[in-house]
Amino acid sequence: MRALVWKDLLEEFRARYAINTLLMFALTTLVMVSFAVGIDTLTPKLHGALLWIIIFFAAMSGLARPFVKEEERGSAHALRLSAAPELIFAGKFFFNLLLAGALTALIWPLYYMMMAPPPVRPGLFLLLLLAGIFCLAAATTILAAIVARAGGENTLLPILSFPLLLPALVMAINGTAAVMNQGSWDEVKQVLLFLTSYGAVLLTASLLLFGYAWND
Amino acid sequence: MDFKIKLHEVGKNYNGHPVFHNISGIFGPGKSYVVAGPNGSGKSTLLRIICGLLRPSAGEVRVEVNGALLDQTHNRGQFMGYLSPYINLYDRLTAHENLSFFAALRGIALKEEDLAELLDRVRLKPFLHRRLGAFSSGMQQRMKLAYALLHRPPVLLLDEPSTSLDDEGKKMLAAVIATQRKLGTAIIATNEGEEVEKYGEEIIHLDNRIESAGVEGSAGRV
Repeated sequence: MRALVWKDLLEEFRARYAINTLLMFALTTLVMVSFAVGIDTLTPKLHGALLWIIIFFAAMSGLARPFVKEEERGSAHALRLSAAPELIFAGKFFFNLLLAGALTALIWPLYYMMMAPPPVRPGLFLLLLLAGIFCLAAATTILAAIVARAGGENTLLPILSFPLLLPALVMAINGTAAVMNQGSWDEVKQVLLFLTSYGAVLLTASLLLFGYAWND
Repeated sequence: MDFKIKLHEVGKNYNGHPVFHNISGIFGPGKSYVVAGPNGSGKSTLLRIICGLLRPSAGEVRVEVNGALLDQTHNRGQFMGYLSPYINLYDRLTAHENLSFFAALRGIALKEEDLAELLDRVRLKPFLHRRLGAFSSGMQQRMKLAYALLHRPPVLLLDEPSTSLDDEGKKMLAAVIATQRKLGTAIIATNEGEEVEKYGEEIIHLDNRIESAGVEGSAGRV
């Protein structure tokens, strides 16, 4: 599994396709939103919604690439013959997790500079972001494999992911608003519990079903 | 190692169009087999079915190794090496990185000297640290052969193996097949008459004119 993550990172480092796409999407969206909002002050709920919409769509534009690339290039068969499907899934999941993490690490400082959201408790907010991107990576990994097998392009991924990720996104937005409102630990804890449980369910179901999506 | 690949009335349709049907036979160790036939007769399809990358529309393929049945694609992949025009490696990685990656994925502890020996076998040793994107098509084909040989498989499936190879490459390929015959078996899909004669100790004839095939109601036989 480590070999697969390392290989994907090395390829990404040399091509910089996904990270450039993600970054450009995030930048243009942020600039547009900050111009549209101007000097108006947004409520914490609106900040939460904007932040997660940007993270969601930026992630959708790049997270399907690892699987789509493998199918387009013809290296997917080499992977199928070399390792068990669960191992391939785990490798791609961790790569997506790293990519989504890097993306969020780029988006948040930019968002903070351009949109001036209310101050947050860093530790709590970091936990919330981690739980959110865990859900994102868990859902998109298997969906990306299905999209790639169906011969689809990245455009299909947001359509398929949206219903699956809607509960997680709503909770992440509520959690972000709570953190920005200086909400209590108990309030945010409920959101964190939901996000980690939901992500774990998605991950377990994906692991069980991945073999069918990958081989059939 | 004792193994048998048994084909029982194997058939394949694509979107309702039959490619071949009723192919039966047994592949065993110590021989080289050729799958021959014109374009579109299903040579590549048959090889993909044997290694588990495709499911047959009818019949079954049983791969038995020391009495155990290998029914998963990755299990067959540990036992078979597969060179195919449908398989490509990573252009942005070097030959060394590609082979090290697949070795790690297969759980093989590959030493530097093993890797150098393998690349020497396919005459690519001087290009160990060159990215595949800078390889010619013939070098890419040699690299695919190195990938297929990486885990020293008892069964080698070669789909149009001499494509893009120069004379020296064809000699290298002949040497690889001769060695493979001693270690296990090689199954070669080709429509080159010379190769059919050279490597075909046993020949599977595929013919897309199904009704005129050698065995009644069949498109092929071993």
